[in-house]
Amino acid sequence: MESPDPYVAVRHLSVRLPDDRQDKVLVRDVNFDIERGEMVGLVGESGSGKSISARAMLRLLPPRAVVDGSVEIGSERVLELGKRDLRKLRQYRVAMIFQDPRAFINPVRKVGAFMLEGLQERPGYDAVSARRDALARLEEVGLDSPEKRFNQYPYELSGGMLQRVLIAAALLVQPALIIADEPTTALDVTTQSEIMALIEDARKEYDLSVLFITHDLDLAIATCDRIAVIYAGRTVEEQRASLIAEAPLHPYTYGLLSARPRLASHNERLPTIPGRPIAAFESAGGCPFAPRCAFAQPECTAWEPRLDDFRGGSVACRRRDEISPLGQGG
Amino acid sequence: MAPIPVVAEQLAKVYTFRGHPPTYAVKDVSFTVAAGESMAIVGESGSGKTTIARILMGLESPSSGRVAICGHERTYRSPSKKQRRSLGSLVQMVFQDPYSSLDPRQRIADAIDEVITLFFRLSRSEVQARRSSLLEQVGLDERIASALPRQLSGGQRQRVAIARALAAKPEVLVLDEAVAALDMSIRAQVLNLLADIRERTQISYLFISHDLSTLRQVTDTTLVMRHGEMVEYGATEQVLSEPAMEYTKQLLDSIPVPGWMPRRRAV
Repeated sequence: MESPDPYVAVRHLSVRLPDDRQDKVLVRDVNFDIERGEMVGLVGESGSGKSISARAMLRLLPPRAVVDGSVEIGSERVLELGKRDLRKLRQYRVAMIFQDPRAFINPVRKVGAFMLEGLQERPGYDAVSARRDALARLEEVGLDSPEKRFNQYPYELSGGMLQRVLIAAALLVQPALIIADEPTTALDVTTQSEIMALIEDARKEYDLSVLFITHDLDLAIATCDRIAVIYAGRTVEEQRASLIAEAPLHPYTYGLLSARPRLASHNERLPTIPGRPIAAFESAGGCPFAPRCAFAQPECTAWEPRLDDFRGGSVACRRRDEISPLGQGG
Repeated sequence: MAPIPVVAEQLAKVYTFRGHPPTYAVKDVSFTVAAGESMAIVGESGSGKTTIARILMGLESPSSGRVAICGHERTYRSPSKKQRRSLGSLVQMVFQDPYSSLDPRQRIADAIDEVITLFFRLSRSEVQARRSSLLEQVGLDERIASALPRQLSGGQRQRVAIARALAAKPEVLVLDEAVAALDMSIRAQVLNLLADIRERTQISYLFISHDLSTLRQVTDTTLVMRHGEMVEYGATEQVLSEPAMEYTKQLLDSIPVPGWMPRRRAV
């Protein structure tokens, strides 16, 4: 996993919220890299800490949240940046796309005003050329009559169209990294495939790095170069997407793969992972997945998870040498 | 022979606004669900699939067409309490969001007992026994009976919602995106549970979903809808492996698989 110079390197990222009685741990140990031009999937169930990790990367959490570990984007050590440099990073190098475009966009401002908002404070801002660029981006994301869209209000556009607007706005910033947090979850399946195609095209065109946050393992496998699977606030596996379906390294990944309903085959019963996913603050010591793991031994509950390089990827499992890779899910 | 559990004929739901042409949320939809059959209605947003579910449940009235549940005609204009109740014992619904479909201040035991006592005259101990067996049927521990919904996870809540629906001993269960909001590892558990229940009882399902990948798991027949109209209607196996209509193919192509090439279209 450690390549000489990844564009993004997240190491031992942890987030906790100090409380009167006890700190609440939201993220315990998240690790991943993104190369230039690479799309990495951050996959986890609810409460796993995937969205919090993304926000922590840009320090978008409330001030009382304590973030530890290291986050490097380009050559910047994000967690150590001063206010001005942090703003520059957010303004010029990173763009975010969220799940619900309607919740993100200002409903009383026109699409055009929304798109140009982030550019206006840049030195040398030129309204005429900015507008021209915005129209070009709208056309690029497949919206017909960009001029008309530019002057429309968000309520006049469908969810899929609005998500296109958000992608166009993200591209307008000319970022090096796009963080997409469940960008297609609220959309229809056919729209989902269009939006993914769009992100893919933009990545190729501009050599973008993309962090794709999703709960949908199938979608991540189909679209990403590499995948980091997180459970209870930890990266438990990190591997090439093309390998993960056939040869998952961690029992959790294996369990998720097995539990997928398949379009192609009919199983009377799906193999399931017993119990429910837990959040980082619910796990005490030991491997957080051990209580649900088909391969767990008594020693696992006392084993402090550590992400180790393994077979071209990395995995945090005490029994990796005996059991990994786990063969085809299902 | 027992009457067919669900008959829907020529259903339509039209909205009219002055000065605009009428908008059809549902247009000319007919289908039947046999005893023990599980039928899927699939479609994207705006396809009319939820409107159909709500019409079957009597939550919305159709502009035209008829619905019969186990031979009982559903009347939409001021149905009597008795009629609503008798249909309620025949068809029950499980909603998508287990966080909003349970009363946050009602303990799980009360939520289930309420339905049991509404439909059956039972003694206290009989109600308790029935509740225990329902909880067991959906794989929940008896201990959660005293819990409030907020103390349960999403998967547990959805099991409670299913237990509550089964409490009426319905012939038909309408599941509106009932697994869509669940985590990956929980979704498989609930899909298995639905398969188990169907195996044990002769219950019929109407499984409303936007996700084609779960259909083989739980359904026998599939109705594909778009813009309020029926696109394709047939055996699930057939629809998934040899789709007849271009739109069904498009839906199938949108499911991510390794080597998937998402397609771009202009809008």
